[in-house]
Amino acid sequence: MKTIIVFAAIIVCEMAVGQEDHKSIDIGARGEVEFILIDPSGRREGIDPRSGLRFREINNSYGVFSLDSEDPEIEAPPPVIEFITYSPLRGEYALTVVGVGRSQYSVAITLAWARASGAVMKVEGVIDSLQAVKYVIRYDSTKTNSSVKKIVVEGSLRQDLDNCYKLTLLGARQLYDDLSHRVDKYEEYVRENESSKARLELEKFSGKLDDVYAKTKGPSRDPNHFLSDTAYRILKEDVQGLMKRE
Amino acid sequence: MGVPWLFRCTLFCSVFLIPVSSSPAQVVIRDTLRIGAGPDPNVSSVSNSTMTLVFAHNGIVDMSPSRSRAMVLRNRFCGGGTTVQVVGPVTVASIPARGPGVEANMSCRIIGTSELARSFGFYLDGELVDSLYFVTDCSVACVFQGHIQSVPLYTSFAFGVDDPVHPFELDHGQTTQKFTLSYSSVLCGSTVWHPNCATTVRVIEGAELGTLVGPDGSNVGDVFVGKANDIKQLRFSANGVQPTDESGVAVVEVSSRGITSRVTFEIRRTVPPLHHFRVLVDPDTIHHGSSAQLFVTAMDAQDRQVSIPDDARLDLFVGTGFEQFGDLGALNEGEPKVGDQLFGVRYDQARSGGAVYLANGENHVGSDPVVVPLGAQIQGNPGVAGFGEVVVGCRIDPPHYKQGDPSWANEHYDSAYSINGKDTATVGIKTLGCALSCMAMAMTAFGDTVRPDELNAFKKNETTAVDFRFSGDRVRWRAMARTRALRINEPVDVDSGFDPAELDGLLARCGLVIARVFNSESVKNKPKDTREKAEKQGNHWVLIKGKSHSGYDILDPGRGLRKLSEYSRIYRYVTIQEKKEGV
Repeated sequence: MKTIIVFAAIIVCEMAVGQEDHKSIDIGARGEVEFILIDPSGRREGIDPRSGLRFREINNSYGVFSLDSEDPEIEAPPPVIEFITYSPLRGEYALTVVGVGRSQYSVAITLAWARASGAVMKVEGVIDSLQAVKYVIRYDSTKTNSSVKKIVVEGSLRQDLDNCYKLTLLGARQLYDDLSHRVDKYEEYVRENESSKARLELEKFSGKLDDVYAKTKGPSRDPNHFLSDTAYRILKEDVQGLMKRE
Repeated sequence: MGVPWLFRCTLFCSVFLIPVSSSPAQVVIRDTLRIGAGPDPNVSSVSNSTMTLVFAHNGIVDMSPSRSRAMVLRNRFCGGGTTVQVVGPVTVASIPARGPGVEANMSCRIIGTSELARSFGFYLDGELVDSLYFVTDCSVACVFQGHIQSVPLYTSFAFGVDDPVHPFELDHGQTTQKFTLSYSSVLCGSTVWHPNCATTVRVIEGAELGTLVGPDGSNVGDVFVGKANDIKQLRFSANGVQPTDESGVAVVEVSSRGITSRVTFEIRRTVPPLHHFRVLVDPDTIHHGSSAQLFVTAMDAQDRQVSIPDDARLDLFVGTGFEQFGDLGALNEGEPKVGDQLFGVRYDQARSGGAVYLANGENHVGSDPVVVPLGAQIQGNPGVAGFGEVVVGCRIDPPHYKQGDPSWANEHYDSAYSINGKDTATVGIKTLGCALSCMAMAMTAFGDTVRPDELNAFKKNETTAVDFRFSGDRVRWRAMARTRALRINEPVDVDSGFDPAELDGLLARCGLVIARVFNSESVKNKPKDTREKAEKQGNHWVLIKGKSHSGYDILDPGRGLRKLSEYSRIYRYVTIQEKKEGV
């Protein structure tokens, strides 16, 4: 561990040298999460709650940003788990968000290339303890070629559906059972390599989401049959990701 | 005064004794008194008689043009109430350079009949050096009982010490034997001298090494004036300072009437000699704008302290190549002097810290502290020198911005966002602006003068650089380099074992550190889990502005000036330092 700390300190010095060009990757996560970042050269930074390991291989910058409130009547804002590098490498960074509790989370990823060239990309999700959600951050020389993308896997939809329900981002039970049933069928077709049927189930699932979301937003909203904005975005993202796989 | 020979003769016994030239030179008084031939040798009958004194000399005269009458005989008793009166002055026509002598005539009136001793004074340059006696006896007949006296005169004297072994060598602290003064006479000397002449003894060199002392050992000083016999009672004592080298010399001169004689005393050190100087600087580490005292001590080759005169003169100087960082200053003879070099500083002043180094030069922010050599040497002699050093660090003075300052306390912090679902549109810098205030303090210290509210507005309104804006309630540190070439590092996360000494190098280069610490006061009334979480993660940002002997100095935007030790630990920190060219 000591060797790693020394290495990290050296990296910090190197980082400061090239800051004048504004290059940076800044990741800030809110929620009951930690994350691990792996840079294009394979160095790791962050905490993996599943193993309890702390990685300090990039610049030891992973940590908590928090503010106190000097006003006893006002609560301090929740802490942000952040990572910053002023010497980003071109290529793909693998970001794995791991839950340390059940919560919604959001990750703000700021990519900067020059003073007047930068982008803030936000992703959000729902997660439970020790669950993981993966993203790929592509940092290139221009904004056009850079991106943040969620890695949707077969179990993503199930995991997100369950978490949305547990976090009451959708409801009520009947809606959850209905959506869950469709996910079951989708997974069954996948196991049976029935890709067209699987895709059809995803389309039905997506249509159900659209239908419920429209009703939720409409004037005749049913408090027992609703889909929050967050749940809608998360589940739709999962569906789109899976459909691209099929 | 001794009378070498004396004899008695009767009236008219005209015996002219012309001494053969011999040593010492002398003046002879011949008693060729003639008294008028009155039958009744009573008082009146012998009045206005003439007595003739014959001065004979052996050719020694004073050739000094300023002494027209080096030898003078004066009547000492003419006047009322005396039995023998000399009427009028004794006259001497001239004093020839050579020859048997010259007569001096005087008129003498004998008043009494008893035998009376009378005398004449013998003077050199008006200074009485001897008395010449004659006797009158008128009990039977008026008889002048003359006698011949001689007054020795000398043309030189030799000064010495009554010590046959080592008359002129002594250790520091010792005293010589008594002085000696031997006289001699040579023909045709240029001046004459008599042991009763006022003679001066003077320490003409090395007076700091010792003084003349009297028979009882009392300090007489550097100068003594007296007769030969008085001088022979004196001694020289090496009671001054130790010689600077292995030995020193003191020269004592005896002089009178243009005759001089000197002796040189060699005085040996009883402690080793000055070899170099030790230069201590206190404090040994200062910052730009402050000063340190120099303490210069004379040392021997074995690095032991040695004594040199208080008024020994030293040159103090700043090492070559380091002049731009500051000056030396001292009161020199009451006058303040400042510069890279100070000449002629008294040793006692330099020894007692009377000279200072003023770090009034370049403030080398961003560079390592400079070790400035400070030297001292015996004035004009680089061979006897010494060096000390002072570490001069840069100085950076961030202002103390309190987030609760009324000027900006209620300025809306950040953009609108929510905390736990509540809009914080009314939350001001006073509540959440600790990190923001730290940034403003650091930026101002580095020349980008900005108040917390101005920085807040800048970050909220920045449209181009995303890394200058807020990220939610989170500040982005790089904004501190918006107008200055500063090196801002990524925040570094540290555990509880972190040693703040790792920051010393950066602080010594006038870097600043914004650190997250735990502020227990802001959560003291919060639920236990909130307090524990805050203590685990830290919750407050402060500025570490430097390190002093008492610890790390903190500017806490929520409170005031503090020490880092008042907080439990550092959790995370950001460093800011001037970016040097080529780095």
